[in-house]
Amino acid sequence: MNYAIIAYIAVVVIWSVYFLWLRQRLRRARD
Amino acid sequence: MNVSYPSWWRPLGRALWGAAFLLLAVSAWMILSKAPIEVQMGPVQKIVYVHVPSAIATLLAFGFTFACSIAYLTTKSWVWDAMAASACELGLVFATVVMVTGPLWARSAWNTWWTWEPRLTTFLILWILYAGYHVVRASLHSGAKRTVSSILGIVLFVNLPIVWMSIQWWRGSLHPQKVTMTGDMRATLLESMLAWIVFLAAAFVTRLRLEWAREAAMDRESEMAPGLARHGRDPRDPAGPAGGRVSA
Repeated sequence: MNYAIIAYIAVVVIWSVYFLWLRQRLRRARD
Repeated sequence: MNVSYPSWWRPLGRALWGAAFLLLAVSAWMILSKAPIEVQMGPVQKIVYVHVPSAIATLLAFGFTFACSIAYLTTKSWVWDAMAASACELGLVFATVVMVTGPLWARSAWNTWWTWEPRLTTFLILWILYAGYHVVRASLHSGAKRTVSSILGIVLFVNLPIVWMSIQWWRGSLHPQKVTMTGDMRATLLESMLAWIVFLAAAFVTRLRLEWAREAAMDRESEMAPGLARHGRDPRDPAGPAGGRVSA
């Protein structure tokens, strides 16, 4: 697979994981 | 103490997220259809449209951490510390994007995943040190957390000019000092930079809500049990010295 495609998939994965983690922490802080 | 965020904060976040998604969509369209395929590297060159903007966003976020850390030590207002920590966390995520996309570029351009050239080495040191900021911050629970974090936010800033100037200060840099680009390539890169900077601003607004929520929770705790919540709970408490709360 082209490295550019891997790079852009990696960017999406990194930010998705980060925002899932952030959402989890926001919920925990509000409880 | 008033720890609720202002009424305009959420609309501001929504507006920034709208702008960020629009700009990122335009950026994706330009990367796919407008920016030409580079003759030597082929499509792999298009990594530059996310790698360089992420590096710029990293430097902006850590620079903002530096400014907010100074503001906290000057005013002792918790909001500045919250802003510094939020910007620093986002800066580290952007730096991680740079660290992941960089080797993918390097494998095609330099035929190696990693080399100890000045820009790569100084950026790796930057990543490790700012990761250390969060490790130190998470390990402290009392009022020292904010002061120590702010001092780190100021001291670690020394790395930024070193990363920026590394390609001029040391020989053997594989990163070019000047890049020749066609008009469409430059336009795509500039648009991508703008998109990721607006994305950084939107993510910052969202991340700061976490600090507000935590501060509000601490405020509630201190109202219920004065003297315990602010300085850590009784260590004999089964929830632990921090009351089971995960620190920023």
